[in-house]
Amino acid sequence: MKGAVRFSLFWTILALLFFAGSFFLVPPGELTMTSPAGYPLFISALCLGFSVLVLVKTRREGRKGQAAGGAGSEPEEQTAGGHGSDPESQAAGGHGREPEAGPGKQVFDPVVVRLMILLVLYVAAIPVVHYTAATLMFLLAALCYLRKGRWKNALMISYISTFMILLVFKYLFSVILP
Amino acid sequence: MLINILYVAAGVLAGIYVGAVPGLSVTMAASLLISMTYSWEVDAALAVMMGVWVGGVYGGSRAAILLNIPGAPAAVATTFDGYPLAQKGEAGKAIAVSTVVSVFGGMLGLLVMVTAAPFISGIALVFSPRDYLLLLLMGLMLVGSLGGSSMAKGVMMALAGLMLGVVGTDAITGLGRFTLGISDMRTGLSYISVMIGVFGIGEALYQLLHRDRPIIRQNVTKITPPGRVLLGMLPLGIQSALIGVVVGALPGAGGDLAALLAYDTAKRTVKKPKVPFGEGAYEGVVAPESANNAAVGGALIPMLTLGIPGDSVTAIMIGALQIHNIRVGPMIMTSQPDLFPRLAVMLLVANGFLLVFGLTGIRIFSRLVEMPREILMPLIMVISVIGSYSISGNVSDILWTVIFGIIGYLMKYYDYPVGPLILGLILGPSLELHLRRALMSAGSLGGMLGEMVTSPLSLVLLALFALILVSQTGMCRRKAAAR
Repeated sequence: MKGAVRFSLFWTILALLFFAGSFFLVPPGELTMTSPAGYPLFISALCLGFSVLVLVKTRREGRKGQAAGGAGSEPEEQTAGGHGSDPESQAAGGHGREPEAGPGKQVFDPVVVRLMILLVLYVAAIPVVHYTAATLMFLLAALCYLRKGRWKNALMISYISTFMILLVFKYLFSVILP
Repeated sequence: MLINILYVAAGVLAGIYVGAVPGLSVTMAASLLISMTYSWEVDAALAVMMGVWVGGVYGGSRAAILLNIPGAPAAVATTFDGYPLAQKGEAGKAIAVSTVVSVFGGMLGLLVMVTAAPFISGIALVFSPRDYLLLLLMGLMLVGSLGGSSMAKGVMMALAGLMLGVVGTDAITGLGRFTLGISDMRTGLSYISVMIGVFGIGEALYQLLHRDRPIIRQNVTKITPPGRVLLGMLPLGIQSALIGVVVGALPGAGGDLAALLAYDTAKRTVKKPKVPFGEGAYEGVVAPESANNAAVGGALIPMLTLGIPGDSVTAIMIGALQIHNIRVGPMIMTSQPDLFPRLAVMLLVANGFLLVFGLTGIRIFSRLVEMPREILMPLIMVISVIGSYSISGNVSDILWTVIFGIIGYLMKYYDYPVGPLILGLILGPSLELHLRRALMSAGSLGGMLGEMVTSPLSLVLLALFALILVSQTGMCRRKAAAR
C-alpha cells in the first residue's frame, strides 16, 4: 500500500504545482476567469482537492488492509483480485481485470522494470543512431531477454517487423523517420 | 462510374488498416491523398477519400477490441467493453458486431444527411459558445460511467486530464502556459500521444507483468451475430446513430465526442444489460461504433450546406474541392447541385464495402491476440513509438508517450481509471475555449447563466446537463450501496 500512497501523492504534488504555477501566469490584478490563468487555477484547485481526498482514502485503506492482513505483510504481494485497493474493481475505463491466477505481482517486477529501461534507452538512441537501427536493436534485445536467448527467432522477428514498419510508415505514408 | 466504385473500395480497405494502427490517422491519410490525387478527376479523388474516411473511422475499433489500444480517439469508448470481450475469447464476435453496427450507423447517418441536412445545419448555425460549453460538460459527465469503483479517482483523473490540457499556448492570448521554457511544449500535450502511451505502452507493460497468464483462445467460429441479437440492438443503434449525426454536424465536435456521448447515453438507457457495462457488454460496443460512423454523415452536413468543415477530414475535402476549382460555400447546393447526391452515393457504396471488408479477415485479426505476449508486447511498444512520432514529426511526442506509458502502467496497477484522463485531455482545450468565449460574450458569469436560461437551445442543453448530473449522483449512491 506504500506504493499506492506514493502514487496518490504524485498526483497531489502535480496538482499543487499547477495550482501554484497558475498564479504566476498573469499579474495578480489580471487574474479573472477569462484570463489565461483563470481556468487553470480553477481546475487545478479542484484537482488538488480531489487528489487530497484520494490520498486520504488510500492511506485509510492501507491502514485497514495492514490491520486485517497482519503486521509485516505488504498488500501488494498478497493474492488479490486487483493490485490496488478494491478486489472487485472493474474499471469501466476499459479493463475488466481478471483475478490473479497466482501470487500477487510487485509493481516494480524485474521484467517490467528492465523493459522500461530498455524502452527509455530505445527512445534515447533514436536521435543518435536513427529510428531503424534503434528499433532493430530494441526488438532484438527485448525479444532475446523475454524469450530467454532464442536469438535466431528474435533476429528474424526483429528484421521482419522493422522492415514492415519501414514499409508502411516511410514508403506508404511518407513519414520522415527520426 | 465503375472506376470510382473501385476507388471507394480501395479507400475503405486501406482506411480499415490505417484506422487500426494507433498514430496513423484518417486525417493524415486524407492529407496524403490530396497530394496523390491532385491530377485526378474530382469524383475519383473524393471517392477514395470517402472510402478511407469510412474505413478509418471503423478501423480504430479493431485494435481497441483486440489489444485495448484505440486506433483512433473515436474508438476510446470501444475499448471499455470491446477489450473485455476479447479477454473472454469473443473478439471475433465483437469485431463482427462492431462491423455491422458501424455500417448501420453509417447508413443511418447518410439517411439523416439526405433528408434533414438543412434542418440540422440550421441548428449548427445557432450553436453559440455557451451551447458548445454545455455539450462538452455533458461529455465530461461520462466520468461518472468511467470512474470504475472509485468515483473520487475517476473525477480526479478527469480533472488531471483537464489540467494537463492547459499545457501549451493559450488559444486566445497566445501566452505560453506551463511550457517550462521548452519550445516543443508550446504545442501542448498531444492527446493522441498520451492516449497511445497510456493505452499502448501502459497496457503492454501491464500485460508483461501478467506474462504467465494463459493466452485466451479466441472463438472464431460462428462470429456473425444471429439476426435476433442484431434486431435487439436496433433501438440502441438508432439512438446512438442519431447522437452521432447531430454531434458530428457540429463543427469541431466530431466522432470522438459522439462516441463518448453515445456510450454514456447507452449506459443510462439500457437498464438491464446481460453483462454489465465495462465487463464485456455488446451494447458497449454497439453505441460508440454506431455513433462514430454516423458522425461521418453528420460532418458532411455543414460542409455541404454551409461550406463549413464538420471535422478535420471535411476540411481536407473542402481543400480537395478547391483544388478542382469547386468553391465551397453556402451556395454550393445551387452552384453544384449534383455534388450532394454524388457524395451520398459514395458514402452508401463505402458503407457497403465496409460490411464486406469488415467481416473478412476477422479470423486472422483475432489470431493476433493469441501471439505470445513476449513477442506481441515489444511490437506494440515499437508501433506506439512510431505512431506517436508520426502525428506531428516531433521527437518530444515520443517522450511523452513513454512517460505516460509508465504512468499508465502505474494507473492500471493501482486501479486508477484511464478513460477519464483521456476524456479530460480530449475535451479540456475546447471546454476552456468555449467557457472563456461564453464569459467574454456575456460579460460575466451571471450574464452567461442568464443567457443559458433565456435561450431555448441553451435551456434544453442545460436541462439535459442537469439531468445527467443528477443521475450521476444517483449512480454514486448506488455504487456506494453496492460496496
